[in-house]
Parts: sequence; C-alpha cells; structure tokens
Amino acid sequence: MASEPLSAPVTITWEVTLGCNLHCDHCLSGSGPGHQMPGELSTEEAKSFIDELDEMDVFQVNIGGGEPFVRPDMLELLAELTSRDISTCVSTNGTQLDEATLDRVEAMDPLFLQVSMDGLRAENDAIRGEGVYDQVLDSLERLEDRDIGTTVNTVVTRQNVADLPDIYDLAEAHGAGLRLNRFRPSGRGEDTWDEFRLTEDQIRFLHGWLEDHPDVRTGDSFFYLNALGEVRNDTLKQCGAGSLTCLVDPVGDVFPCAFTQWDHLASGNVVEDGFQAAWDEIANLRSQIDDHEGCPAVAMGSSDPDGEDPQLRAILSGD
Amino acid sequence: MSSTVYRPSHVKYRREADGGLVYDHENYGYEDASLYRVSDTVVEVLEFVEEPRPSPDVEAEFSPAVVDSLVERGVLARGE
Repeated sequence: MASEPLSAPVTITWEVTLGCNLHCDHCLSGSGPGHQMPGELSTEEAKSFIDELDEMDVFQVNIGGGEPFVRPDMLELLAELTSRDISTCVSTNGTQLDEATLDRVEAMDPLFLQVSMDGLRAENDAIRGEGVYDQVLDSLERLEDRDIGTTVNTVVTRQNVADLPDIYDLAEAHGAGLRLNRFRPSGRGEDTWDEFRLTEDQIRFLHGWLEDHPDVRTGDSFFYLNALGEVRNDTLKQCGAGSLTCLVDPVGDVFPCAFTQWDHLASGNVVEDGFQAAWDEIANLRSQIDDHEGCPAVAMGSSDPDGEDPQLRAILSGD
Repeated sequence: MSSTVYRPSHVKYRREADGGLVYDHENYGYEDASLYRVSDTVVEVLEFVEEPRPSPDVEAEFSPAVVDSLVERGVLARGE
C-alpha cells in the first residue's frame, strides 16, 4: 500500500515458544510438549524486544506459539506490552486459562484472546486431542462470564468445514466472534497438507458461506490491514508479509510471516541484529515472494514452489 | 465552555517517509483493525492534539473543515 517501505511493521506475530501441552496434527509451527527451541528468548531479552517494538511504534502484537501460556513469564510479558498501550492479541489453545491467569488477563488493556477450536467435539478432538473440546467450551464460558473479549479461531480443514455453521452458532452463543484461518503447508501442515487441505468444492462452499456471513473474520493480519475496509473477496489477492507484518520466532529470528519460516527468508535476529535492522532487511526479501499470486506461503509450500497459490485459482477463476 | 478535540485511545498513528499511518482498533476484535494511509496534515493534527485541545485552537491551526472531516472519520473525537 505504501510507495516506500514502512519504517516499521503495522503488526507482528510473535511466536514466543514452541512448547505446547497439545500436539495438533496441523500445527503451523510444529509445536508440542517439550518442543521448546534451544535459546528461546529469556525474559530480559523479550522485554528488550518489547522496548524496541514500542520505540518503533508497532501498533499491534499477535502472540502465538506453541501455547503462549506455557511460558512461565507470559503474563509478565503481556503486562509489559499492554502497559505500553500496544494492542496485544494472544492466540491460545484455551486449556491453560485457570482463574489466576484470567484474573491477570482481565486487568490488562488493550488485550484480546483468541481460542482455537477446529471443529465440533469429534473433529476438534481428532486433530487437537481427546477432551480438548470440553476444556475449550469451559474456557469460553468463563471468558464470557468475565466479559473478556474473545474470538474463536478455526483453521478450516477438509474435516471441519461442514461444522462451520455450528461453530459460528456456538461462538455467538458465548459472545465470541468467529475467525477463520487458512490451513497452510507449514510446520506439521507440510506433512498433513494432502490430508487436511480443502477440496475445490469445499473452497467454493467456504467462499459462499463467508459471503453470507460478513461478520466472520478471515484471519491473518495482512488480510485485514491491507483491506482498508474494502470487500473481503479481494483480500485473498493481498499479502502484507514483509511489508505490513512479519513473524518473530521463539529465538528472535525474523521472517515475512508465520507461514514462510524458511531459512532463505530469514532477515535477522532481534537480539543479535536488533528488530529495526531485521525489518529494514526484510524489504529485500519481499521481492522473493511478490511473484506468487495469492498466499505466497501456500504457493511455495505446494508441489509447484514457483507457482501461484493453487487454492486461489479455484476461488477466483473456478478452474 | 468550548468543546475539546482529542485522539480516541483506540486510534494510533505513526509518521512515515511518505505521509503517515492511522491504525483504528475501534471494534476491538482479535486482529480486527483498520489501517489508513494519511497525509502529513493528518499526522500534524494528531501530533497537535497529543493532549486534548480546545476545538477553536485546533480549527484555527488547521481549519474547521479538516477537524470536522477527521471527527467524522473517527480519527478525532470531541469532548467537553
């Protein structure tokens, strides 16, 4: 959108750990129990990074992982972000939200939670683990009781796309919005791409269903922030990776987005190089992904890494 | 008593080499915000009202039309 590269990202995704109490089959970052990376940012390094985010006037930080709340210092870092008035969004699997955690979260502003739900009970638990659906429902009820702004996030797969109308109703019944994310071939998604990706008929169903449900968000910060309020049908053509947003991994390496964490697209490290230097460098990488129409991550992770996003063609041209 | 003009807390802004950016998190949804590319003038107005200012002061510095337009867009708000 800007003629000159931005001085800083509008929003970043920060994967604070690859540790997670769950081991989901489609996890974009390949997280799981004991999967913490050697050298994940210490509390002091993380706070120093937050200080630089504040100096650079980054508007919004989206915290992901792994499961953020397995980090013992997560609440401390969230307090650091929100005390600087940085809009802070936390993506959680919803199983770590005990009352003490919610007491702290409730007092923070501006802070927003996103809880993952990848289907109704059968489909969700098949992909996320036995009993997780009921834990998430319990969390949604307690979040609603506290009036903590919450969004249900669903990664749309071949197995759960038919559940969307029911998930929509369930989220609404708990005062939560629904946000959909595309399933992408990254992390364990590379191994399960052919198992979980949507069929062309399902893509067309999803596209029509979204048109009928304009209040459903379509996830991925660059879809929003590039859209400038324009119709969502165009947003799959847009990508802000490396131009409006970027990804910082648990050890502080910087990539264009969460789904392009390949070594040749790393632009620096927030500890070794500083985030400003890594961001300035990322403009040079942008040319490597600009040629991919649609979502570059899907294009580059598909069978034809030099081609376009194959799902985009199904949506836009009906091929 | 004249009204004041101020920047709502859900509106953030930043100067860029070419104009500036306004980020509006009015609806407060997860990752659900709007972003606008704005002119230098808009950034100057926002910097001018870093603390709430009386409307006549802001309108005299810029123009009533500019202030009205930014209030209408939600970038600024009026208060007592």
